[in-house]
Amino acid sequence: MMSKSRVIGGIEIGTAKVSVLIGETASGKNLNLIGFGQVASRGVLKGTVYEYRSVNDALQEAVCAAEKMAETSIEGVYLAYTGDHLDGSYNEAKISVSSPDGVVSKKDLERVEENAKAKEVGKHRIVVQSLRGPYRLDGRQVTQPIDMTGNELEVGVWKVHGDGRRVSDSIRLLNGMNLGVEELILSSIASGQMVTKKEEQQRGVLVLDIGSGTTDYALYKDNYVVRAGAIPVGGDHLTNDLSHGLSLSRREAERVKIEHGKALPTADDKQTTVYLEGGGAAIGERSLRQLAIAQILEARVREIFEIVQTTITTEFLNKTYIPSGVVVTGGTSKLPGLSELGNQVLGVPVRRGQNPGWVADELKGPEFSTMLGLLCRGFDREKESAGRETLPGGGLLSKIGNFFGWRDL
Amino acid sequence: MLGEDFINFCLRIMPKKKTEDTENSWRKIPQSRTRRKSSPLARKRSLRTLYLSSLALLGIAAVFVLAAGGWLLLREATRSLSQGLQSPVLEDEKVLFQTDGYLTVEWLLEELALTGAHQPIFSLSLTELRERLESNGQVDKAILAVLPPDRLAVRLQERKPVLRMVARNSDGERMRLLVGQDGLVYEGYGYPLPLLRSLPHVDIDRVSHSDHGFGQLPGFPQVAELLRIAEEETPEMYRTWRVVSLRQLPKIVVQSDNVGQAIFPDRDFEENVLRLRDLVRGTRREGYDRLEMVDLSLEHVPMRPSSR
Repeated sequence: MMSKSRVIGGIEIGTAKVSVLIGETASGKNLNLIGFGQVASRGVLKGTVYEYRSVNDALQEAVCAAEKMAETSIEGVYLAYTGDHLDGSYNEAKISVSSPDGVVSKKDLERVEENAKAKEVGKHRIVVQSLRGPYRLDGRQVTQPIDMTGNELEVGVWKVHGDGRRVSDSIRLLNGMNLGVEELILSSIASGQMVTKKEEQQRGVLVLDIGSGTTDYALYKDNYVVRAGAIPVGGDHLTNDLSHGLSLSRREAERVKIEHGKALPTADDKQTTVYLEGGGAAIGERSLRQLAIAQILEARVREIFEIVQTTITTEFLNKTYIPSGVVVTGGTSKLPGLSELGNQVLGVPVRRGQNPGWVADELKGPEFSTMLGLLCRGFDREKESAGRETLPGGGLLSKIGNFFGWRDL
Repeated sequence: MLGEDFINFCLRIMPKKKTEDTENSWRKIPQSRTRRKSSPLARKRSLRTLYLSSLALLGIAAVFVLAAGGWLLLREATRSLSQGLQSPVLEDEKVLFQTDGYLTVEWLLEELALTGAHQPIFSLSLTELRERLESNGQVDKAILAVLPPDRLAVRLQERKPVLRMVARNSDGERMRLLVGQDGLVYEGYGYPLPLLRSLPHVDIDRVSHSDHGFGQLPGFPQVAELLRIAEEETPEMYRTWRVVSLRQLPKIVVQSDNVGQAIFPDRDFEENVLRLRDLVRGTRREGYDRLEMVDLSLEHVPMRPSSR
């Protein structure tokens, strides 16, 4: 039997760059990364599309570059989503087990989940991702309660929602290129899947994806994402601060941040001078004090961590709830001293995330975590559908079911 | 228990309400895609894939056709061989017979002694059959071929008779014989009577015998040439020729309704035939019915007209 090959793309429309990573799956058995395209982003502010045409152009460019490398066209897209308009809300539902003998059925699970999701998110708001927590049966946390006995079944759902028009804009951008969005995935969840291990997700870990416009977070506990969202501060704020504080252009400030930036000043910084052009003490060369750079960046990074702390709340942000600490990823996570500063502010161990060992060297950087995570999610979905197709009786029956609109028989 | 199973089955196949349907999910945003132009490389790759697939399909089809063709040929050959080995050549419908004369397929089957013979066609010796046919005086040339699986093709070229004769065999029986253009004497078969009646008789002392029949008459092919020219140039006069005598060879003596004896030399047939025609006409104009004798071998033809 011929293997069913499918070309999927992970796309991230970020504030600083638009990235496209193309992978090819064969019957959900393996995933080959075959194309990559990245261009400077235009028209995106804090993760949100502001200039449709500029973003469209950048997206076209990135998709074409990736498809050129892959020598094929993308069939389905997994889109990373973030933005300053995103918000989260938590809702719990509790039901009585319907069966007289107290045995939990699939119907009970669906009912309690529906109830938990039923809470309205507001006018013009749209749910980007619903994250179901673990079930509790009579107060006991259970992973799979079907066929277990109990009286009351509870579940909590964390819903990440955003402005409907902005979400729609992002989808329309891709639709305009004849690309269908198969799944919207929060950037932090996509990258979190790459930079954390299953054991860490089980014990409890917070992933912070510090991008240019936003800092996305995903809080894992017991292998569930219990909280996720986006904070509208990121690496761009650091650049802005340098630009204002040192009277630099944005481009110079960005270069200074990348080449000389650090999140924690050290003792040597007071005596160290950096030169804007990098050419040394030449005539007309502008010099900057390393300490000033570090202090400006420290202030902003500290603020970011403090906002994170406020957002996540100390209920979750403590060593007991997240023994595995915090994993930072995203382009800004490369800033030296960021982990140490995070440790100081948050009071939990903070480490820089790393992509798994199987990832090619050129994609090892934290800035690729999100796209890799997207493709892994796509791969998992292909694997699930391939598994469904190979289930006994899942072939023809499933097709007939699909024809009549039945799903997930 | 059956009822419970049935209910479970019904629950399973009933359309499942998607949990996200209850919330305002992004999945409710209609995704209308417009046609997007593929990148040139993607198009190139698609075309290459299409090209290679077509080539592969053509290759597979060619191999299949060759294999099927080979198999059919082999099967046909085997079948032909087995049929050929088993089928007797008995029926005339299994003999493709063609001739430029008057012989028939019945004559052929009898001549070849195939009627009623249960003989596999592949066991026949075509050379032997050809020799047997060509030994018959009426057959000038014979071509035979086996047509698989079980048919025999025979094509004959027959001798054209130019003279006829009546002879007696050693037993004293009368025999009607014919003489071909090459002078061979043979027993004719199947000729129509008008044709036979139109042929002049030959006058000769005796007919020699060969291994398979009669021998050739002397004076041929000159005699045949004279007859041909006479028939072509003066058909009306030729129709009156009754006897061609070979007793005075090399002179050829012709007896006709109008001439008792026309003596032809062994050359200049056309000229002498025309001279004879003119002489006969001149004789008629002068009121004589018949010439008794004309010797065309002489420069000044002596004529002896009969009485008016």
